[in-house]
Amino acid sequence: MSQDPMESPRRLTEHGELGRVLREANSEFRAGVNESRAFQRLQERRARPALRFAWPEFALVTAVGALALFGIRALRADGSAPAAVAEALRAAPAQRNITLPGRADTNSKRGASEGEHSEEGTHQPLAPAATARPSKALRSSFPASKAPMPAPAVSASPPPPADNSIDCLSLARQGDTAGAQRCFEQRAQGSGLSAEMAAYEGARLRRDVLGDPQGALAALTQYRQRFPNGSLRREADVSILELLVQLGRTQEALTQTEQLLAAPTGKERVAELRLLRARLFRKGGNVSAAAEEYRLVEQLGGAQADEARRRLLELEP
Amino acid sequence: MARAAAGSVVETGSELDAPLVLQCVRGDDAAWRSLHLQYYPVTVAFLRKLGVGDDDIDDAAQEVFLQMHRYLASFRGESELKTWLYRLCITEARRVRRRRRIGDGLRRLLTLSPPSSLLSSPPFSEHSARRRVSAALDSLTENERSVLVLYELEGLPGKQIAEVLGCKEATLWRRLHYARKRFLALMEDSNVEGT
Repeated sequence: MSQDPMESPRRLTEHGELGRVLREANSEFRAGVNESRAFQRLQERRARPALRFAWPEFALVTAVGALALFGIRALRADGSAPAAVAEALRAAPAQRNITLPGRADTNSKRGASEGEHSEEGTHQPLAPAATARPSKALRSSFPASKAPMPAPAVSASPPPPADNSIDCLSLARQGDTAGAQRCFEQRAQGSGLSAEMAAYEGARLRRDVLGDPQGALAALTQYRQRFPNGSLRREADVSILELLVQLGRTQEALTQTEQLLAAPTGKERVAELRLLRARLFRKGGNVSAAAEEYRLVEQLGGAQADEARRRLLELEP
Repeated sequence: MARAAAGSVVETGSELDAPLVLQCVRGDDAAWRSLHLQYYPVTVAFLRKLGVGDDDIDDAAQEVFLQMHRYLASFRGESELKTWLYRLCITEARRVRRRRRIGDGLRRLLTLSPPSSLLSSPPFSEHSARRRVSAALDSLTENERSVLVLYELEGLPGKQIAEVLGCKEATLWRRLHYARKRFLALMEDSNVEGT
């Protein structure tokens, strides 16, 4: 590939063996399309009022926006970091020396093309600054697979309390977990979105950093009482469920799954929730209830149906 | 409004699509059928190339056509209908991907197990051209993937791709250069693994 990147290249489909593969793939991509059935479905859908399918999108976008804005990493395995947090960290004067992967060089000629690849850069996990690593205790209680807190500010003295929850997280990163907890509690006293976020982040600190699932559960329960219609309500519900499972409080976890299933967002995740219920029933020795849940998942079809079928076979004597 | 919009289509839009679009805007069901018949296979194929999985493809394609139905009256015909369709597809594919990621995250929380996508990456042993190409495309960034698919698989000219992606042509060629570089390396790897 010594070609000038600015020139229109010869298409790969015109190359020998690779061209053949691409042409073959192209026809495979077009295969198996049932247009008439799709048109029938479209007509049915067009007859329905728009609001019915517009609002789950709105809820999803709101939830994702809130997560991205306040640096909560909803996704763990792919290591994506919300761009908003990266931007907030880059904007903070004390933290300008933090290097995000893929964004080291911004002023060379190559920088222009790197800029185009910047999406990739901002989706990488934030790299902790080498000069200010969290304390050993903090690192050991914060497993690598968990979503990391934003990288710490490099500063000679502890930073003064700031106006947003990101600074409370910075305290946690520096090893001052007690200070971070106080910071969150103080901010949670107020009202509005920042208080809500602080309440939630405080709970997350207890769960992920302090290793205090009981305390985290209590904090999340309190969050739910204070902000019954909060923007992170669903996230809190899922976290509560996770903590109940972790603490072995099976019956309460089952009740929680019922609540999630009854919620509109839970309906979208009905298969996952039912699989979890089946697992909890199995754990409690209630094989018939577990089998019933697996059957329900099987009837739903989709990706989870195979797993449900396999689990059902396991249950057979 | 519909009349004005439709009028602009006739004056400035693609000559091939203009009458059909005009009829659709006027509420002609037969024209809608015809438009769907013509563009549905293109939509499905393009969404697949953008990484929309078989589980989501029907809904995603339907959503594209719903968007089209909703906004066709305001389509000004300054670009080809297909260009607009590609844009709708790219937006929809991004939405599906985001939704899928949230779903996977939630699934991990609930089942405490890795997402199914990690467990079931397409095996090269199946040797299907689509699988090989899809696997290589999956490793590209969203921008790289869009530009590569539009140029190499859809065969669009640079100017139209720039229009679809809303970027300068120079930017587009640069993106394509890096996308091709990575894509070729990945295809080569898959060839080695497959043999």
